[in-house]
Amino acid sequence: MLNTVKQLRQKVREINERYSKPHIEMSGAVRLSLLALRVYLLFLVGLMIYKFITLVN
Amino acid sequence: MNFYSKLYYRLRKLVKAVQLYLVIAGPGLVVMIADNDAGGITTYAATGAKYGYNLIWFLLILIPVAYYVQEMTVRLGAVTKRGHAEAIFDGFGAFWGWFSLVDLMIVDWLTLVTEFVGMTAALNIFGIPPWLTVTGVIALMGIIVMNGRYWTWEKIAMAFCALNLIYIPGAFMVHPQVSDILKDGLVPNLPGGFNGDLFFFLMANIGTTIAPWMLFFQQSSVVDKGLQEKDIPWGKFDTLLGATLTVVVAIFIVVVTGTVLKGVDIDSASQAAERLLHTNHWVGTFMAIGLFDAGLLGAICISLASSWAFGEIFGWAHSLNQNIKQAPWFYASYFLTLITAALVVLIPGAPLVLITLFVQVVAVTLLPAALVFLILLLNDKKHMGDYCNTVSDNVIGGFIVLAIVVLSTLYGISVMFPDFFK
Repeated sequence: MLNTVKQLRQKVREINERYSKPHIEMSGAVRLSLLALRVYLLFLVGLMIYKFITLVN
Repeated sequence: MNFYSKLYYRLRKLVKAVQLYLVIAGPGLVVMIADNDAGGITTYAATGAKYGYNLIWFLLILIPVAYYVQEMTVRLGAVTKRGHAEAIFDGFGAFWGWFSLVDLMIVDWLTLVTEFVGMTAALNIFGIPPWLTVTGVIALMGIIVMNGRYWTWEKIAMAFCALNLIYIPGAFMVHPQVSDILKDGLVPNLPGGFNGDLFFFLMANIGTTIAPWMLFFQQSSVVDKGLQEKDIPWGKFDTLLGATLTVVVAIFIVVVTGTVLKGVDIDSASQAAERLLHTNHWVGTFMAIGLFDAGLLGAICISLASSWAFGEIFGWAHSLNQNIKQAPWFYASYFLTLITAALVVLIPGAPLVLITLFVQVVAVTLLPAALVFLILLLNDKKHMGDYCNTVSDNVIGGFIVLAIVVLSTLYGISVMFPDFFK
């Protein structure tokens, strides 16, 4: 079991190394889209946290 | 003589074209018809019961919407020979890759639970206990995938797709007035005016037409099938045919419930089937069989979407053309997803309604990201070459993606905060 977890961690490290850099050309439009996506996801996560807090209260 | 030889030549050409299509047919048809999953059937049944035929025009608009999004996955898969998960990792790096993969895993698993909810509810109508449905489905899905051939899996899946057409005779059996369907359904209208309820239904119909797993599934399926660049036109045709069929089926479901159950509040497709059984035994039976088939098709595709994505990223063998010995992790992840989702349905008092709502919210976090990545990847000239998006592709695709992002987000918000649009 421990061995499997170690192997999995090693595999994840390999994947992170393999895909450490994006291979798509980072033009202005791509950067802007990714920034907008980050803002959008932060907004959604914020909403979910708000919902969770109101549910708990 | 010249006329007959020309006719013969054209006929031969047509037969060849149909034969070629039958070889390539599959990914588009299967993904689109599987899109009418248990949740989809519930949405269409509830739409018909609430608004009669009045929203049929809106369903027709969803044909080009579904087509334009899904045809991009055909091009991306056929040209890059990579699934959507791998394409995101490679294109945008590990951060966005892991985000998409983990999100996909959660959405797929939750959606899979809803498919089992639909299947058990459908067969429960015939007195089959949930444990037997779950066991039977897992066994059946095991047999389907473990034959070691993509081709066989695809043809079996297509047979289940054909069963999805069961709603069509069902609609004829309730004897709807064609003139009413044409008058109320084909002229764009907003029944009762634009209000929160109507908005929720419109968004639910969009949400059920484009789901995140569909992008991942079709692209991986195109790769596993081995489609080449030259096959792209047929792949597009396959997708268009699938998009048309899925909306046709949706319309027939709306016709059934719009004719028999208009004005009745429907919470689930199984409830609609039970009510229909009282008015017309065969139509209710068809509705229940269709619901089971929809859940099964959804389960077949969704569990594969996750397994393909994991295989692509972790470098495991991940093809249906490989048997269980050649691709053990692929099949292990397939069955793990399947069995754990199935077991949730059997837990007494499991929060199934909460899961059904939660899946819609989580899907909203993945769908915009997957769609934005899709558009950006299709504009990557270096990898896509001549199959890169044209300006018109970007205008149409961009508009559709923007509309889906806005509406699915509003849908997610309305699920979290039901009074927000009231």
